[in-house]
Amino acid sequence: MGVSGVSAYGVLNVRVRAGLGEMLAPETFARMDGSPDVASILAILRDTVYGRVLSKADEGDANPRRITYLLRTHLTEKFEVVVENAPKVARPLIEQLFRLYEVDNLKATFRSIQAKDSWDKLRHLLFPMGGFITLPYEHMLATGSVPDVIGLLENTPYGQPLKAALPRFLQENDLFAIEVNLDLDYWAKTWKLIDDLPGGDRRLAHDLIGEIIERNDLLWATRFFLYYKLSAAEILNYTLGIGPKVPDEVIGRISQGEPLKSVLASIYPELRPKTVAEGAENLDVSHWEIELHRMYFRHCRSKLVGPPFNLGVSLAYLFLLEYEIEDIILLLEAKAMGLPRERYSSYLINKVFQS
Amino acid sequence: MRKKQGIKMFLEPEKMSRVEIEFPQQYINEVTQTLVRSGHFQIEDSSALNMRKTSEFDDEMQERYNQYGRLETDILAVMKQLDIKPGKMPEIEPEVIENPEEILQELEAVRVELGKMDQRTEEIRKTLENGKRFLNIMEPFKDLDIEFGAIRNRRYIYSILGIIPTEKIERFKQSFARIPFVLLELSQEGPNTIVLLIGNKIQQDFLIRTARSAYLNSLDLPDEYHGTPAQIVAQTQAEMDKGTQELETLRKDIEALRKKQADLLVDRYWRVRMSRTVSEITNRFGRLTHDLLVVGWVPQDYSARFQKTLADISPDIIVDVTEENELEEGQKPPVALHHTKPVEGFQKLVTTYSTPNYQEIDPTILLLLTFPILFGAMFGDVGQGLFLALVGALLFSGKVSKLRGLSKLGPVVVLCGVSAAIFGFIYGSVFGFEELIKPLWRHPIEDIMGILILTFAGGALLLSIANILALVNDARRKDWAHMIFSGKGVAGLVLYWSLLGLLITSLTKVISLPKGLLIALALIAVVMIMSTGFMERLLERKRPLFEGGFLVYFIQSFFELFEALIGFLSNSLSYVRVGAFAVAHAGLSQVIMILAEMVGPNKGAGFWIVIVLGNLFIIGFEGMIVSIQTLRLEYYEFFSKFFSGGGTRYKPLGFLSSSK
Repeated sequence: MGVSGVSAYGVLNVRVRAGLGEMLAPETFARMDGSPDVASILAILRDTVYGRVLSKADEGDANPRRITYLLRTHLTEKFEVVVENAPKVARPLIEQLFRLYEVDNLKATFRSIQAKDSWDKLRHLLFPMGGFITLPYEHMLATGSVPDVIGLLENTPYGQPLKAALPRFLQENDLFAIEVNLDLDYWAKTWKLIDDLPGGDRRLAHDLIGEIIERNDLLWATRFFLYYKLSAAEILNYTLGIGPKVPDEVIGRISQGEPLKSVLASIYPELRPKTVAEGAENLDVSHWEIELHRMYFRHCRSKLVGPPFNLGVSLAYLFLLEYEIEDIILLLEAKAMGLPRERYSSYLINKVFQS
Repeated sequence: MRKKQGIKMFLEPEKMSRVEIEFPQQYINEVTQTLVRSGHFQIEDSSALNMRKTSEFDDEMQERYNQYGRLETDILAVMKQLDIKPGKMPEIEPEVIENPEEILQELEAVRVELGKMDQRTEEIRKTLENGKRFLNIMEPFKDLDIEFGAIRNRRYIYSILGIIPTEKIERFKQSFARIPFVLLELSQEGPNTIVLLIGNKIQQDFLIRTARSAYLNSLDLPDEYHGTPAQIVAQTQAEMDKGTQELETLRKDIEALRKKQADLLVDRYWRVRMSRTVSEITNRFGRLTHDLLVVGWVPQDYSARFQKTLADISPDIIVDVTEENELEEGQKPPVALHHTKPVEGFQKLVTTYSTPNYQEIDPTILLLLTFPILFGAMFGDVGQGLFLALVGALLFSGKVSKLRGLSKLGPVVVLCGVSAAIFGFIYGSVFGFEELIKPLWRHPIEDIMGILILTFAGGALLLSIANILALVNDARRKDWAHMIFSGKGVAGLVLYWSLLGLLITSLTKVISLPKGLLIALALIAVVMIMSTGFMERLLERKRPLFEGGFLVYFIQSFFELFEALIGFLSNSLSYVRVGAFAVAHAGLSQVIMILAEMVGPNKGAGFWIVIVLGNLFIIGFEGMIVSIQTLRLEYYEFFSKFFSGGGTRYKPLGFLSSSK
């Protein structure tokens, strides 16, 4: 990393380091884990960096749904900070990474249209988009028609994938083709954006984002094979095969019936040997999904050490922050439902729960 | 018919007679039509007088009513389809329908004919829509030189012609790694490519599923399409042209049907509506054991002719007329207000307060005389007044469609404007300029005390008129004790005038009245007012004379006297606001002048802009406030003295009382 890296990432690094310093300490997580109810967790959170966003919740509407929305607002704000302070060349990629939440919002809107939900119900499911320009969800829902929404979005980045999936939606009246194509298109475009980055950043982004794409391909392929009973050819078309460690050949192994455990053991030796080795064939896909996320969590943590003036630290920070927020949300929901610790702890990602 | 002449005609409601008609039910149609045709009969709901349980006859009448309702809806629906408007009711009164079935058959014939045309029109429209959609789908393929017949329904080969996102082609090819296939990339269409996928027929399902998973959207053509895409497009276009021509023919046919049936449908519509109205009226008849009973009101002048008309139908129809002076307690005749169109605005202001009751004076004409005077006195300015008059004339003319709803208020605004202009001459003010014309009297601001005293005097005059009108109303009601002894009667008037006389004598040296006489009259009036309750009971022969005992009576009477005195004082002082607003109006005009001179000291454009805007502000804002104050004086100081309202408007039966 040369002088140019220092000038490009100097300010951003300071802001990201400050953000990292605000992240919750393992002790705080432990205290929340041991809290008896939602109110106790909120009391702990109000003394942390989340106190500011939580102050927007009145006494009357401090329900888990509202709290979830406010906590995610914190992530949106941090994305905005990173975009503002990132070098110009890296901004499109970071903005694209945030657009993943827009894709999720779009999918939620389509589901709400199909279920004829009200705007009041949908708006609580949407990810807060903050200052990012986004889609007119309320208007889209008001059309009450998936084809009409696709028409509305014709000139957006979603126009082409939606248009390609529309004939199948009209035939099947099912959102599967739409949702799959949105995901494929999103990650393909994200991968292409990495090519615009300078060498060092490109390698880091390939490393960090490549693993997300690999995880997606592995889980999609497994689910398509196990639950949708799709053929190898179909699975290949519904996956990307661009992750360095999960080429078409690996997807082909899954679609030919090789257990995920075996595939994972061969491509990720760093995945906890204990978990992979202990004859866990019977574990379902969601178990491996959690393990892959935990591995990714460790991967991101590893990017925080070493040369600081690069894109990797910022990306790792944003991914880690998302994990932190999703863990808090999981804890809140578990406490709200009164679940015992053993029922929810296996779904938490944070390293404090991995021992 | 009307014989009353002069001002009395405008002050009193028309005299009414109560009519009860008993007749055998066989005459129901003739009687009903006569009642409606007369245009003078106001019906009262007599269904509460029913003396029998529901009979077959009643059920039939109800069913008939429902039938007319349905028929009217159906006719209107057909007319709407044919774009036929009902227009105004024909001058020749539509006949009541005896047999709704005949109309139904006529309507059905039109409906069937129209239905066929509509159905065909709809079919063609759908065909055209589908054709248009199909042409859109075919658009990317139109330049392909492929014979569809050649690739369809082959014994060993299965092919898919379709469009696929270009970026998916490579992966799509990889997904076929284990089976033989041919993928021909025919042409590029933006981000998509038109491809022809050819494979083994045995693997048809696999080919279809894999193609779908790659978002290859196939062009599914019906079997009847043969030839190249260009030929198919031409074939479709020809079919669409044919459809368009047929649509035009159908449009002409529908237009011809419209012309042919318009008169018939309009005629039937009005007849059905007439029949429904008549039928609706009969539901308000009372059912006696054998006969039917109708109760209502007609103008006294008309009652003889009305009786004769009914008697001409059949001697079995019994008509019993009760004149106004024979009415029983609780029988309240409706009030017929008969003012000309220009006066309707003032009538509206009266009825907003309340509808006059039958036994009291209709204050519309009094309002017409006093309202503009009070308004003008407060808003005196020649220019602003004439501007308001112009606005009023515009409102009344109805030339501005958005203001048509306010046309009745036009004459009110015109008179207020003219009055304001007259007072403008008296005060010497034109659009706020006070040096343009010489005042006939003086500028209000130069003699504030003078104008306040004058308006107090004007108020006293109006209150005296109101009290005299209250006496007239008491006399009409034959409420003699109240008329003579009450605070709103002769005694009250004597007390008011005595006190006014004492005030004038004490404060001015111009008029000198005998104080002793005035005090004596005032004391007599006080005693009379306090004895009102006693005298009322004495004249009505009610006992005991002092209800609740003498002490209670005395205290009650004392407070009634106190209330009357306070009323005189506050009502009189209330009119001082007229002077106060005249002064305020002049003051506001002066402020506008000062502002204008500040903006344009040399009377440049700025000066005139401020003058125009300032005058518009005064006309709009102050005009509204003065209107509210005038209305307040009329309602609470003037009307409250003599006008109790609570009457029922006279609304004679008419055809087509309600529309669907």
